[in-house]
Amino acid sequence: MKSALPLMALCLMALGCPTSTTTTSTTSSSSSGGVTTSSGTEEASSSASHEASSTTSSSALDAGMTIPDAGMTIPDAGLPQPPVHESLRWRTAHAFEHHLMQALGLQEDEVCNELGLFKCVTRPAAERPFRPSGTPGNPTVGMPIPHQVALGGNEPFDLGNYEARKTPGVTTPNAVDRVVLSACDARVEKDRVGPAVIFTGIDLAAPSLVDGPALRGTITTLFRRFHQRAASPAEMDLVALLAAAAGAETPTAADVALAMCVAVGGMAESSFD
Amino acid sequence: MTTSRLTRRETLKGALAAVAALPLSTAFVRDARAADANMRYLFVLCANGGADIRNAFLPLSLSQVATTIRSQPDADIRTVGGHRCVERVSPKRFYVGAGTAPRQNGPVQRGFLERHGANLAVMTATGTSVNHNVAARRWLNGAGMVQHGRTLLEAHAMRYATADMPLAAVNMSNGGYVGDGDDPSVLPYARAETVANALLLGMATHPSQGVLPASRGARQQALLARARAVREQLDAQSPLVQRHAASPLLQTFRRHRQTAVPLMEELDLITQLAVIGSGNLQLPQYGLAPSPHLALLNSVGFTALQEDPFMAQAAMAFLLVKSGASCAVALGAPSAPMAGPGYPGYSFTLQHTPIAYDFSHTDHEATQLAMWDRTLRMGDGLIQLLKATPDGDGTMWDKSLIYIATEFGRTATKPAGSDEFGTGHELNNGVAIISPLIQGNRVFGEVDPTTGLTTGWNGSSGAVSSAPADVKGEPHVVATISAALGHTLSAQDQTYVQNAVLA
Repeated sequence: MKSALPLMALCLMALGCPTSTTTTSTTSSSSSGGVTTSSGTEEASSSASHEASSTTSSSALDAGMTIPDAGMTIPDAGLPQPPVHESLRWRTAHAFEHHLMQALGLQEDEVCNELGLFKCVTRPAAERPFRPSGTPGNPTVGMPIPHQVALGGNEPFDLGNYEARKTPGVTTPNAVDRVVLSACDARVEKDRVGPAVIFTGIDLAAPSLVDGPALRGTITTLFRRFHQRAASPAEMDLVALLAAAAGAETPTAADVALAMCVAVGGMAESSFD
Repeated sequence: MTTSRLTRRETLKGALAAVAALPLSTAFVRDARAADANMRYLFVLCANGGADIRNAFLPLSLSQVATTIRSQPDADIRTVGGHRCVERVSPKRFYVGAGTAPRQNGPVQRGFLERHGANLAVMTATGTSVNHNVAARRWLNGAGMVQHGRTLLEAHAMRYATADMPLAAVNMSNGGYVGDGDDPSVLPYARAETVANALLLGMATHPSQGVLPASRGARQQALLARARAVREQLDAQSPLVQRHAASPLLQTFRRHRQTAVPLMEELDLITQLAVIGSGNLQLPQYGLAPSPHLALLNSVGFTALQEDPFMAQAAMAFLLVKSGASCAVALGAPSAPMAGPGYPGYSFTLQHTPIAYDFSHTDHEATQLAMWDRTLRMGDGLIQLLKATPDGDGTMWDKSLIYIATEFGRTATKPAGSDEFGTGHELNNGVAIISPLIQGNRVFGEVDPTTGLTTGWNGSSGAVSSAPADVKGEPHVVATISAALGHTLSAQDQTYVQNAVLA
């Protein structure tokens, strides 16, 4: 908590900060880029603004440089970064779904269905290439594929969206987590009924799970299936923590299996390669 | 100088995440937001496919024009305050609006003017493309000539997003209205979040709630939160993450996960935005509760949220700003048709035409009437919701602007004397802006009855002008909207602002 205090102070300060939205009357000596608008406001800016080279200023919120009231500077923050060679590939909708199918040994329609009805990532096979039109009295309800676009897919038929987004959006991490959780839950439930595919070394009906070879063997399996590599000792220890009791609650073996799957499967390594 | 990849906003978000652990954090956030008197809300209502202003607020009377110029029967034109509109009483072939009598277009346009005409400005304008995608993009970013080609959503989010606003800009429209603008310096938080299905947006605002059946989900939520915390630590040690630490893709993903996700949870968006729950969509089975705002939505006629995706978008636009998640939202007429029960002699009625306004290629008049009805109904409901929501000394509407954007108009001529005909794309058109922040009850420009085309107008006086230099285009519309919303404009941008429109 001690380390959070300066951040809290900054937060408190900023929520009332003139340069965010509460007022725009503040100026600073570095506001060379500020221009009076037709509404008479002038925004604080600075020479560090990412638009300083043009006549258009931007709010300090945009650039996050000098905060006049605070008298502090976050160096270069908000400036356009020099071009970085993108060395990663985003594993987008279709590829991501198949990654989970392969890692968890699931069929496509088992991976994720929101509210038990809406296939999360790609169209159900019966609706390819596009969803049938509604019938009289039973119209279509748009495109019920909740996470396709957030996961970098695109929908040319119903959405007229001919290009996928190039970078992850705000809801992308949630979409990843929900789909991974759903897929992991499907695998745990299938393994509980048997025959087990992933959680072969542990008794999923057990009231708890202790840290031991069986647990660590499962973690190794999860890393190999999701990320095609072994877990480091540190990673192994971290994941094994999930078997420990939290307060008075001791998680069941099935709950631990689900949590381990979510932790490993939800890593950024699942979304990028 | 050390380079920091943390923007100030993200630092603030980090601070907020720290504060979020405190019991009073929710109240803290809401109090801060309530005090934000200078906030502005932008709604872009995308009339996909070519909404012709002459079929709504700039109708030509049949008696005024030659039989080859598109016009409306004199009896179908209404005057409300400083505006005119179309109230079609003659039957149309396939469209039966939800009017007062079967086979009639309802008084939607008149009702809209009666309620909101005082805040409506119509601006004649001529675009630069008749390609759907290209034109749509240009009417959102001023053809790249204003604010470095940022879309209005991006420009607005850059100006008004606050540290506690996780989804500053949201785009639920389609086609060319979706996508980033031209300015590469727009920061990730201000890029519009594309939403394919408004009805299910709420589900994407929480990492786990509602995924599992309620019987197991609640028990596992705490453990799942621990799993996510472990996952964060695993990511920090991940060889891939360490090796690609400079990857913009990875950085963006992880920043959203660390900043926006906690904010969305803090605002309880999964509940606030939960407008589903009837029929076979049972939220309680998944541990979810319906939005507390459903009754308010129903009170303005938003009662078919599960059946009508356009209505769901309009409802979601309101909920996003009301919940404090967003300040700029675009919604748009979907391409999918919507059918309703048939009246005698009709097997069914087409309430929302296929490919929206672009079905005018097949039947112009019926399509335009149907789709203007649809567009204005959504706008009307949205405005009523905003007016019903207190904000400071007034309501949210006092801080809002709705821009009805479209790609282009439709061919101004028709086969002589014909009442049923198709039209092509036409650069010449006009746009509608509704807001207390502008000069309402005004029409800027007019339609020349000899050509059927809209004219230019003087940007200072608002007087109709035939001078070619007074023909307005995408940058004039976008810059004027930006000025009305208090965006910071460069001297070059200011040259496009039409001061006559500003309040």
